[in-house]
Amino acid sequence: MSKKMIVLKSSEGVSFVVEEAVARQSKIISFLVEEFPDRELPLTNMTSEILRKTIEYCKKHVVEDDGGGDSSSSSSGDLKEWDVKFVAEIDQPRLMDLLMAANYLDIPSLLDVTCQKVADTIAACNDEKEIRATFNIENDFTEEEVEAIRMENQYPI
Amino acid sequence: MMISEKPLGEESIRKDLEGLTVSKRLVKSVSQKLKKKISTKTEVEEAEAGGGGGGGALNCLNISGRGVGCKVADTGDDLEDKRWSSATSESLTTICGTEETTRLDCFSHGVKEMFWKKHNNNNRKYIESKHHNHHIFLPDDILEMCLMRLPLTSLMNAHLVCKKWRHMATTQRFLQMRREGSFQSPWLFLFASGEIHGYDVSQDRWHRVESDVLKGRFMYSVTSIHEEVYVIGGRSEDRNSFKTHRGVLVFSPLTKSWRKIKSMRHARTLPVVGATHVSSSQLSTLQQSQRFHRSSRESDVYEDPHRFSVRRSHADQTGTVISHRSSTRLKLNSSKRFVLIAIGGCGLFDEPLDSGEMYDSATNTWSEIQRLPVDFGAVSCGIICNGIFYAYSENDRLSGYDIERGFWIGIQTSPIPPRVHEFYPKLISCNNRLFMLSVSWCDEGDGQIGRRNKAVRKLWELDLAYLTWTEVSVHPDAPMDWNATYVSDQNILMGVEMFKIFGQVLGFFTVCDVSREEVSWRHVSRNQRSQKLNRSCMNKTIALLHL
Repeated sequence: MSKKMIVLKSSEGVSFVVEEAVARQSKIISFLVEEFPDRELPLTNMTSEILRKTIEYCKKHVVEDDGGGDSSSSSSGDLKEWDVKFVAEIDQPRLMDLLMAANYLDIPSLLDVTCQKVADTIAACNDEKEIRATFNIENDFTEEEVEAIRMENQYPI
Repeated sequence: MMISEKPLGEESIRKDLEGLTVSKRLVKSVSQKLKKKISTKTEVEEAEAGGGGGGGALNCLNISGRGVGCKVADTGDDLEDKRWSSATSESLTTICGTEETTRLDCFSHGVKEMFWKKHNNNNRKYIESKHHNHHIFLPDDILEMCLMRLPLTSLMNAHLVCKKWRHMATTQRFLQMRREGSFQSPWLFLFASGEIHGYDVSQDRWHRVESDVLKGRFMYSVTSIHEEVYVIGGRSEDRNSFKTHRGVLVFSPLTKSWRKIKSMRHARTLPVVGATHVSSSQLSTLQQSQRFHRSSRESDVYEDPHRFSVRRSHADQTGTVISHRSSTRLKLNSSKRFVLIAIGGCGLFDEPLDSGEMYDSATNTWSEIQRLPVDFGAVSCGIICNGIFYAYSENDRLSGYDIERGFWIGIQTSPIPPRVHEFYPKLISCNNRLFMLSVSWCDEGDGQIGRRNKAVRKLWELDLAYLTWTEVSVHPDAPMDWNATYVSDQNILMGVEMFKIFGQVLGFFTVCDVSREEVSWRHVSRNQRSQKLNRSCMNKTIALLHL
């Protein structure tokens, strides 16, 4: 079995050799591979760590994709579980990087799980102060403004 | 598993250097193209954003957001070989400096930080602490995607975080995308006389809705469509005498506001109600058919031994104009038109009504619909499924009102699910399937020999083509509430059962997924506040919304 391999290079210049099918889950890589079949692809805005994570994700998903041609709910359920575990292990700054990488490389499913993870992180906060603290966001509202929004927010509580 | 990482020696890196520079140039040329695209795009977005609080930050971040992912892909799509290679040969500038400045232009400072990090990855600890001192650096479109996935309560918290977030999460576009992306989650609203409780299904949390609007009112019916609950009819006590209502109140949980729509033509308590979305193209059809059936009271269609009309209409309905709840959500924006149907119930003097009426949101009017067939009996429950309003009577008759054509069709089914008459049967519709919950005595076939007095609540499904009922599952609880209520959300059935025991009100909430082969019920959450609902808990009614 001689699967076609391609080389991705991180910002530190570390090369990663991956199967083409794995890398092709990224639409942008897929495109670049077609255009430049025999080149290394430099991903200058991605650290090795993030690139490794991204490749790990793609590998898992490519295996599941062609492993089960009629993969039913059970394997897709497993995959979902794996996804959840995958993002759960990542700390927040790296999650952001991974999210950016997913966006940059155009890997919709990875983008989806990372966005969901960010949303879950926000949802886990009890109030807006906790959200600000978690994401280090400065409060640019005055107290009156906050009260006004609170009044109009009015979700059933 | 193969090891993915394969760090090569310095030599090979040097060897690859030539290839590398070429590719770097490519990246650069791409980003230059991006810049061009972005600059045009920004103007558009500026116009869209239309001023307001976080305008400045918004725009600058937008640039980076579009630049990074989407536009790269877009460029990829419309680039031709020629353009690509010419761009490559043109740009023979050195790599590092220029490239970085190009990027700095189109990345937010958070991404700059990423670059900074890439050159200083020895100081990871420091970087991490730095992360904590900085704003979240997600570009706007990505942040938007994250916020969109928030459940309602968290989204409301997000509004309070900062101006930018608030601006982003309140635009019409955002709300629409949240709706269309199916990021809304189901909420259950439990109405028990004057009290309203909201249950956030995904978060498993109950909220109490503070409202006096329904104070003193009871025996009303509720239905929901388009993020709003319609409270129809009912009765209230008015100085030793009762008042029966014609009025319809609309509760909008998102704004926590109430409004009125046109009152019904008749006062009704506990009418059987339903709501469904209709497409605007039906406007003429609807009115015509109503005129038609009002002139021809004779229900010649009712006696239809061969059930041709049902079969025909069933066949017609599949994939045509009137859409069911699930598709309603998708079509919401094409048309917001809907109809409400209220039939039966009791009138001013507590006399059972056999009339029905339909509300058209386009005209804000109620118009009478064909009367129920004479021998039908009092309506005990009803549900809209595939554009047909199915009604089930206390005499165990099933009839369907064709909303588009405007007439009742008698439906002879077999076998009729057995039931104990003290318990109300309930019709429910899930993904264009029709179900009924009814309580019957346990028979010997259920393995309860010698315990014939045990009652069980069973779920039945009506095969809409062959009109036969099949038992789907048995509810695990002994039926205690003769008026247990049910709602559905796609494939999920949810039921609330409440009853008084030893002076206390107990509430149980169960769900089942009808798409599974083995349909089974599970308990979800007990309403901790149900103890307070000691007044007329039998009158409770529930509605489900996506918020």
